[in-house]
Amino acid sequence: MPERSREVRISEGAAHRLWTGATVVLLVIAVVRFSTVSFPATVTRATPFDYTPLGDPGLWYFIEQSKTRVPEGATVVVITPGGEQDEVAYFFAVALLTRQRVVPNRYFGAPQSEAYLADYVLAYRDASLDDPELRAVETFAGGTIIVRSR
Amino acid sequence: MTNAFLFIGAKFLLLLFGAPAAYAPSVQQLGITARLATAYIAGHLVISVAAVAFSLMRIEMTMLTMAVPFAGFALACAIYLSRRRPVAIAPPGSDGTHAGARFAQITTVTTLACVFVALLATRATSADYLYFWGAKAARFAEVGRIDAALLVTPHMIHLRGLYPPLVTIAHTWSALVAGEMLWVENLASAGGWLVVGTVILHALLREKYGRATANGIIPFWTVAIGASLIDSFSGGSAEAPLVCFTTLGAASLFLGGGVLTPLCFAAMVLTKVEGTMIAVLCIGAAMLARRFAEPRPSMRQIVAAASSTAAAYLMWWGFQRLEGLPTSDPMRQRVLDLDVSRFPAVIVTMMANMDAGTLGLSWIVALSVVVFCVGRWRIAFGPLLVSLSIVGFYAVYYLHERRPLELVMGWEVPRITQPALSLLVLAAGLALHARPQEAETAHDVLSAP
Repeated sequence: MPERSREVRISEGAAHRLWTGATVVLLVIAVVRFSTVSFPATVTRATPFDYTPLGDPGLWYFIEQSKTRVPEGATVVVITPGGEQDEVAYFFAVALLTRQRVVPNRYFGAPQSEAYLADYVLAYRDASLDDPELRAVETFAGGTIIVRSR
Repeated sequence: MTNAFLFIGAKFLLLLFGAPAAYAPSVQQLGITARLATAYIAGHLVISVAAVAFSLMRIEMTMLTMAVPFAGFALACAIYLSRRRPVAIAPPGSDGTHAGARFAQITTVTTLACVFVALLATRATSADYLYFWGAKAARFAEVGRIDAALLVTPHMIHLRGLYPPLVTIAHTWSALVAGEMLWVENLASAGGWLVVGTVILHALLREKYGRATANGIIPFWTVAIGASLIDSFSGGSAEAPLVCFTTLGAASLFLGGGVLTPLCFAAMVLTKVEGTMIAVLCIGAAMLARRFAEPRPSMRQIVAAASSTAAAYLMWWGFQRLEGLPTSDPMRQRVLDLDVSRFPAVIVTMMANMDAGTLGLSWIVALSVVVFCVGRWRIAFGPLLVSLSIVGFYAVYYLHERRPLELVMGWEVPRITQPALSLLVLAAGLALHARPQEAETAHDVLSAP
């Protein structure tokens, strides 16, 4: 029993210093990595992931700005240049266009035929669909709202 | 601005729903901030249970249907409970040095400020928040209930109908009160959970081991978890509440935290699927701790944890069954289909992704302290065993994985190992700072409900 006490006493001082020192080091790392760089961003951000590498914030912004421009209940599909972000665009649209019926152009890698019947097409940047029934009605925030004339 | 005020205000309204928990005798002794934090947790449980019940009964969740009956009931309970005054007992142990207390305050407040700045600067947003936690909340707020029909739509499987409701309902509640989903402001909720965890853990440790012990452990814990939450992009997702519930659930179970135990175990299960796994590991570790640890968790606490875990699980499982939601993930059902040859690769990939925002230092230091203080392993037994069990569980879990390990684990490991990190830091802190004889006394005092 005395041996164990001695063992703990010897390591205790070093361990306390290690613990306190490590707390300071961790705090410095955290401040440098996460705070000083991001403080100005608390004012300048426009989307929930402007400074997180999750994709193109412009796409989120475009869909968000479309929210009040597309009638409630209308069927909407979002397309992106080359179809590269179509899936992410669909996820964003489901989150943002809660009063419209959003359909995917592509879902888990597979093209979706339903998209070709959508009332509205939100074309991000220079994305386009080759369809004579489509007519651009408004361009804003890096994209265009296209309506299907029936 | 008004909507932002309402959105954030809705979170504080939950304090009212959970007010009775703040008047439980075991919580009254923890101080006013910890009582408010406990009410916050209880408030989240109340709206989660209410949302499930209302959705089953097809009652629309509104300010009127939710706030009036629940706030009224909660206030009545709180007034009744407030008459039961606990015996005031001075916390054990020493108060520690003034410098130590000041260091703890400065470090903790600075960390919390950094976390809030990083979250609100959109520096740490979770993809899951955009894809399903927040998306479901925005959609549920439109219809005023858990929209099971939406979740079973073929093009909505990415919304993860399997996942438990607590985080989504918390976001939904704020969106209902504000009239819209405020995506950026809502990110701060992750910081709120860190505050809740810090406040209650400090109070629990202070009551069990004295102020000096609490001041010794909390700064490191807050920095380690705060840095990890930001580094793993946990803003808006269920990671922060899960870390909070698992840490407080385990701490209250092993140290004797009264009503906090069932509250946190139920919340754990209703937050994430893996919350159930962690709850089961905690209960198993507590049974072992009754034989090996010091202090020993009371059987009453273990039964409370197991009962609330079972009740929360059955409630969500029942809802899923009744509403036709998936109760299991087909991608993760190959229980015995293990590729054991991948074990070394799994371990290497796992370790490579345990940076935790501190270049891995928080893991290394905590582990080192546990090794240094090997003579005091009994006092750290419970949290340490659960922490190692969580890591072990995931090591086995990833033996099922057929996709490239780095692709999957690089994304998931930094987030899912956070409860293990939190409990390892708690174990290291207890081993270093706590004194067994003080714990024994404190545990006896605070094992009341």
